[in-house]
Amino acid sequence: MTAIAGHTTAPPRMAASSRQRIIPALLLMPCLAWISFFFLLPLALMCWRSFAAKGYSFAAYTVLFTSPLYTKVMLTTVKTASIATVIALILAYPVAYVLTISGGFRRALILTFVFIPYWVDIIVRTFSWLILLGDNGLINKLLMATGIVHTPLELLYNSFSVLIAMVQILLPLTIIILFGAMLRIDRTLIAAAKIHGAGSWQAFRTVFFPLSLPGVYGAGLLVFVLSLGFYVTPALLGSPRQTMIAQTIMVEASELLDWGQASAAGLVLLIITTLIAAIYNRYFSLDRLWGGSDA
Amino acid sequence: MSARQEVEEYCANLREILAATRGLDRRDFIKSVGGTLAGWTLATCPGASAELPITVFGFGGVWKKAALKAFGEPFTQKTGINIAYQEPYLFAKLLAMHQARAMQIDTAPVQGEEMYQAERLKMIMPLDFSVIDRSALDPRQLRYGNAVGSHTLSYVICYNKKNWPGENHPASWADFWNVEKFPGRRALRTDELWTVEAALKADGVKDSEFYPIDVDRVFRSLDRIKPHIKTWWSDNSLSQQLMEQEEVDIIAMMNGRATESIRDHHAPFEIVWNEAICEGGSQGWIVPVGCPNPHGAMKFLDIVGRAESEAAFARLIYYGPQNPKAYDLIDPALAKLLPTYPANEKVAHMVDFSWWADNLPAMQRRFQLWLQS
Repeated sequence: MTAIAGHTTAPPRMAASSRQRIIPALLLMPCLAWISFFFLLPLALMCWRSFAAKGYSFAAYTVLFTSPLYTKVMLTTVKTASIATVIALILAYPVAYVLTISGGFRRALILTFVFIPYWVDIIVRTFSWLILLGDNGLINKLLMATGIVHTPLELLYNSFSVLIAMVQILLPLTIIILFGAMLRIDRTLIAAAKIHGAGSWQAFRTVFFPLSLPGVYGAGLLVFVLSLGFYVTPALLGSPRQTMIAQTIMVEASELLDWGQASAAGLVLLIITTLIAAIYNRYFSLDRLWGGSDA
Repeated sequence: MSARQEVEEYCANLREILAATRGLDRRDFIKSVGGTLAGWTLATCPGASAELPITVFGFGGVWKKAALKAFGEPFTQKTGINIAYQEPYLFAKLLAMHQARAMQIDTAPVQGEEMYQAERLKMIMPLDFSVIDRSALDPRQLRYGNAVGSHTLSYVICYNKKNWPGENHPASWADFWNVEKFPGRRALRTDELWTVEAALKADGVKDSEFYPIDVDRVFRSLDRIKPHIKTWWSDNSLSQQLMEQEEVDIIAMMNGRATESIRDHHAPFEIVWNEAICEGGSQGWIVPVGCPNPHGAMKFLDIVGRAESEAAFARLIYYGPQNPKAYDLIDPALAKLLPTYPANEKVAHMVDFSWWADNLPAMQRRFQLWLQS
């Protein structure tokens, strides 16, 4: 993530004592060491391998950008991830809003229901969709028993089943991020709008909603990046047409043992993700998601 | 008592159990194996010596349970060597450890084209026949020289008996491809090797002219069936789900999983053994070069290939033993459901993995592109 965790609401003090600078640095050391050894170093090795494995050349990258397979998989990945993100945001927003305005017991109850599916294993959740959406699944049986349809609907092994399962997996996270962002909105502003004669809807539309947008953008980015890497869901619920990049990388690495190619594909995915995050940050300032200043 | 005598005695005991439990299904068999062996061991080996453990690298789930029951527990009880089980088996991991010169695996069941790769990369230790009893093995189990073959699986056509209750049912790959004669929802595996072999059989290529594979012909044949495939499965459990929930009418899947669904979960399907795409004994247990406990691993290899352990393994997971003597210990009703049962083997199509060892990456990429477009 490119966002810099900056709680810099206070203006920088020029005369800060050296001790005040050393302590945060020391506290960051274990984290930095961990990240360097378990993330940056392997990443560097992977980068090196993507060139070295093909006789120190860009051959692996040429394949990535010229092979129709990779172009197609990459497009499918970005398309699927974008649609899933937008749906997740639309569904999560009202829930997060209700969470913000309700208190105590009701909030705890809603949060519990949001979290329960989050605690269930992804594979279990994915298999449950197979049981629900199949020709002999619950939904089709119900539809046929009530006479709404006569032949089972094609609910599985297409982009519909992939998206519905992805959204279900992404939803708890989206709700929590949005809820966190909305909590930081100063609710007295809405009260002020109402005092000035705005109705509830108008207060929401002209005050709360615009203020919540930075949170929506930030949540959108996090959820999008997460959905780029989906593997189990498209593999089990999609048809080969819904293949996403993580599946292709997995095949290169574990079946074809072409680690140079897999490394190159992984790196390109990382670069694309970072680029998207950087552009996003330029326009929507990710800092706001972490409670930083809106300046 | 010498180590060899102990193994012989263990095998004699296992033979008795196999005979006594002949008609039992899998669940009851597991119970009796566990009970009898445990009691017997307590009586005969009161203090197993503390030796270095061996690390066995295998598949997860049912496979792991079967391997530990059939090979692992008897091995530990006889030799006093504990087993650390690593899962899931992935040749890529083995290769990575080999290249990093940090082999942590003492023995692994390598299969198909991987065996050729392992051979080329000099990853395999020669077998130690002072530990492994060659006379207990069938020559076919030693076809690779440095591996002990244990089991074989097949990619088989299965059809729903509700759709085709009589004699007129799909009985070949040509029938699987024939959507007019046998209409129904179909499923194939998203794996190039099995599906490519099936496509050529469906197109009527004779076994004698099969290799080198005519790649263009493969894709012409695949083009014909593609619009009629309801789903392409990638995971073995998914294939079982499709069968058990009757989401498809004809499915091609691995025989052990099919039998588990049919026998143990009562899926109304029937296996077609004609033209089963068979691994043909290409699997074998190896001891990788540079492993921590090669001697312990050789002792393990002395157990895996024996008729007794192979029979036990087949009863637990329904893959075919490579040691034909195992069939003397298996109930005929179950024997008929195994890929190496003589009648099944005779009508099967054997995969030549030496061709695949050279052509897998190119075929895989072309197949994936075809599949996704």
